Amino acid sequence: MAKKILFVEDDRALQKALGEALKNEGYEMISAFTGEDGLKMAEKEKPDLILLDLILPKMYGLDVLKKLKENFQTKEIPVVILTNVEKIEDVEKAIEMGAKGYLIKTYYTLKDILEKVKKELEK
Amino acid sequence: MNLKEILWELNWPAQAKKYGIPLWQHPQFLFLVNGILIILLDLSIYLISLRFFSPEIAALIVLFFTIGFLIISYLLTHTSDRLLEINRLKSEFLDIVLHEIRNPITAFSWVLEVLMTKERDNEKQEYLQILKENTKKIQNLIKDLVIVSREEFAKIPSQKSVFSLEEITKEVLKDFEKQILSKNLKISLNVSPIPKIISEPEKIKIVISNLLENAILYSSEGGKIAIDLFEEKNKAVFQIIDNGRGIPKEDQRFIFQKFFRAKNSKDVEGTGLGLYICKTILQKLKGQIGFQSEEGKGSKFYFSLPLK
Repeated sequence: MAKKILFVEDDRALQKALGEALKNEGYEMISAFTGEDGLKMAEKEKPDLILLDLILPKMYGLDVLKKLKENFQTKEIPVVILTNVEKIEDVEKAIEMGAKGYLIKTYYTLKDILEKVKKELEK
Repeated sequence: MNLKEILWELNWPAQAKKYGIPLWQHPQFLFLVNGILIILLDLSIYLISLRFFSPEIAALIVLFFTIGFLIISYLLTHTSDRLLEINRLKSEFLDIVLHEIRNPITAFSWVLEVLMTKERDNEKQEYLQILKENTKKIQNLIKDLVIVSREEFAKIPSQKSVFSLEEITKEVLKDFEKQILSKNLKISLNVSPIPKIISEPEKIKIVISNLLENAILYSSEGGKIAIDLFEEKNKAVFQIIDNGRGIPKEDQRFIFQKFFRAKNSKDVEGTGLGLYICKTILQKLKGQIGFQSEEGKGSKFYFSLPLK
C-alpha cells in the first residue's frame, strides 16, 4: 500500500510541485492549507509522515505540532518541519516537541526533500 | 515622558547592546564625554587668556570658543546618531526582504524542477537548465546574505560551547565528500593534539566550510588539499593548503571584501561573500584569519582561535 504523506503548507505552488514529485515516487500526498485542516487530516487519514510549514494562516506551525503531539491518535506520526523560518529558537522548540527534522525549504531541491522523506519513512 | 521612558533614555549600556555597538560609540555617552572635554577646555582657555587679557575679554574669548565647540559637537553626535539609525533600518530591511523572498524563490525552484522532469524537448530543457542555475545562484546569495546579516547585526548574545576542532573538521569533510570525489582530489588531514575549544561550533563550521569549498572549487582535477590542525602560542590553528590556481597578487588585498571576486575566478560560481563571512565570524570570536597565495601555485588559508 502506498505510503501517505500529509503536507501542511499554505502556498499552492509548493503544494502542487511537491505533490507532483511525491506522486512520481509512488507516494500518496494529502494537502492541508491551514493548521486546523492539517490537524483534521492527520486524525482522519493517519498519514505515515507529516511535512509541516511554520507560517500558516491563523495557527503557527509549532502550535500545530503541539496539538499533534497532544492527541494520542496523531502523536506517533513522525513530523518533519519544512519551512523558510530560520530562527534557532524555533528549531530548538520543534526538536524538543519531537519533530524528527527541521528543513529550510529554500536550501533544498525537491530531489533532496524526496531523499529525506524516503529516509524518514524507512525508519 | 513617564518614568520608564526616562530610565530607558538614560540607560546607555542597554541601548548600546540593543544597537550592537560598544558603549564608547553610543551618541549620548559621547556627548557627555564631549561636554566634560569642553568644560575642561573652557577652563584652560580662560586661565590662559587671563594672562594676556582682562577677565571680561577672557570670558568673551571663552564664550567664542565654546560656541565653536558646541557647534562641532552637535554636528558630530547628530551624524553619529543618524548613522546608527540608518544601520538599524538597513538590517531590519534586509531581514524582512530575505524572509519574504524565500517563499517565491522556493516555489520557483521546485516548480522548475517538476517542469524539467516533464520536459522532453531538448531545447526547452536547455532553457530550463539555465533558469535552474540562476535560481540556484539567487538561493546561494540569499543563504550567504542571511549569514552576513546575522553576523553584522546580531544582537543576540553568543552561546558558546566546548567542542573539538578535529571533530567539526571531519564533519565538514563528510559534507563535501561528493564534491571531493567528483574532482578526484586528495585530502590529507594532519591533527596534532589540541585541547577542546570554547567558542561557537556552528559558526566555525561555516568558516571551515567556506575555506574548504574554496580550496575545492579553485583546485584542478586531481589536486591535493592538505588540512593541518595544531596548537601555536596558546591558539588553536586550522590551516588548509591547496595547489590550485591561487590568487593574483593585485587582487590579494581585496580578497576579504564583500562581493569581491578575483579576476581569475569568473568561471567559478560564487557570491563573493564567503571570505567576508569568515573574517566577520572570526573577528566576533576574537580569532584571526590570514592567507598566503601565489597565482598558479596555490593558496594557504589559516585561522586561529584563542585557547583559554
